[in-house]
Amino acid sequence: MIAATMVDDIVASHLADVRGKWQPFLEERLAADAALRRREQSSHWDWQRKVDYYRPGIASRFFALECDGATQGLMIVDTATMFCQVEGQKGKPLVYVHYVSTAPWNLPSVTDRPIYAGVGSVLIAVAVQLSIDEEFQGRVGLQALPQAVEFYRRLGFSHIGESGKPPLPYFELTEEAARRLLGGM
Amino acid sequence: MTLKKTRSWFEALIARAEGVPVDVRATVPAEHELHVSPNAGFPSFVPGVVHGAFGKFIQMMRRKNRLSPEQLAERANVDLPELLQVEEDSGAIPSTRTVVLLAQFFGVPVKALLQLSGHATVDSSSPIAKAAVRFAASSKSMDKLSAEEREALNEFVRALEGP
Repeated sequence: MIAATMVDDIVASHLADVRGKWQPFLEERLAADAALRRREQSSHWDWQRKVDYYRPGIASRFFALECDGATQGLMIVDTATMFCQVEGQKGKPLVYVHYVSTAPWNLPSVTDRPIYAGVGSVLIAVAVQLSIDEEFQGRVGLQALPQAVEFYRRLGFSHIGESGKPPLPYFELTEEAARRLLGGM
Repeated sequence: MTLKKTRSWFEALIARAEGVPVDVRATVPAEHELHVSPNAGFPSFVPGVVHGAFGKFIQMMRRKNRLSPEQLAERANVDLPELLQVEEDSGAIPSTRTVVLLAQFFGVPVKALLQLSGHATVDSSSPIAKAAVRFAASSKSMDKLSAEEREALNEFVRALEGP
């Protein structure tokens, strides 16, 4: 395990890493692997555009994870515009994860030798901690890419159904599941 | 916001999420500590970094704490050559990692320091930019902080922390 730095903003150097490191790595892998082109579902995300879009929102929060001199993960969440759909907490505020990504060299689906594991897990844990701090008791919601469905299920998220256009699986973390995730430490 | 967990907590989290035992040579991280400032909603247009304010701020906070650059680098776990360059070269832009660690070490808002160090654009009319101009124009460095320097520093820290 190595130490990483969490930054509570997405700044120019992170976006430069997406353009100058993530994208070329991914493009090289996509060119080499047609099956990967069909499978890899997040390569169209333009992080500059996403950040610009959500920047004006007063409840938008941005996170970046760095280590080894490079941006390893990015996340954009919202603490005010979305609400729970799970019975038992319906209508209550939650932390909604708009986007979360790990660098392509960390993805087992992209490369045979992923470099860092746990980037996505840590970012989701940050979202859950943020939810606690906002007094939402750990409630978190998100739409998952189909390749990530098992990942969220293993973290304890409940699959509620499909939402959005095109429809993506909607997942929500209940207060109890949040307690289990963050543990007693 | 602080997410501070033990190494074994992270191992367990990652193992559960990945669904497989963790290979400790290939995982991240050892310890996460994220210090989050309240979102003061600074507008993000018109790049207007005040040259020298960040380096001067770091140098004064270091001296206020009676630390040599070597001691600060060691205790804050930042790169010594980078720290020296930041203090001496007003055009130097430090790594985000260094900015975050120094913000945490000195207990000032990370987001504000990111703006001051040139990583996030800052509106030249914002309270932080104005405070930075005043601060950067204030007295020359001496070994020990004078009363005036101390007051200027305290005023600037208040400005960083926001309303």
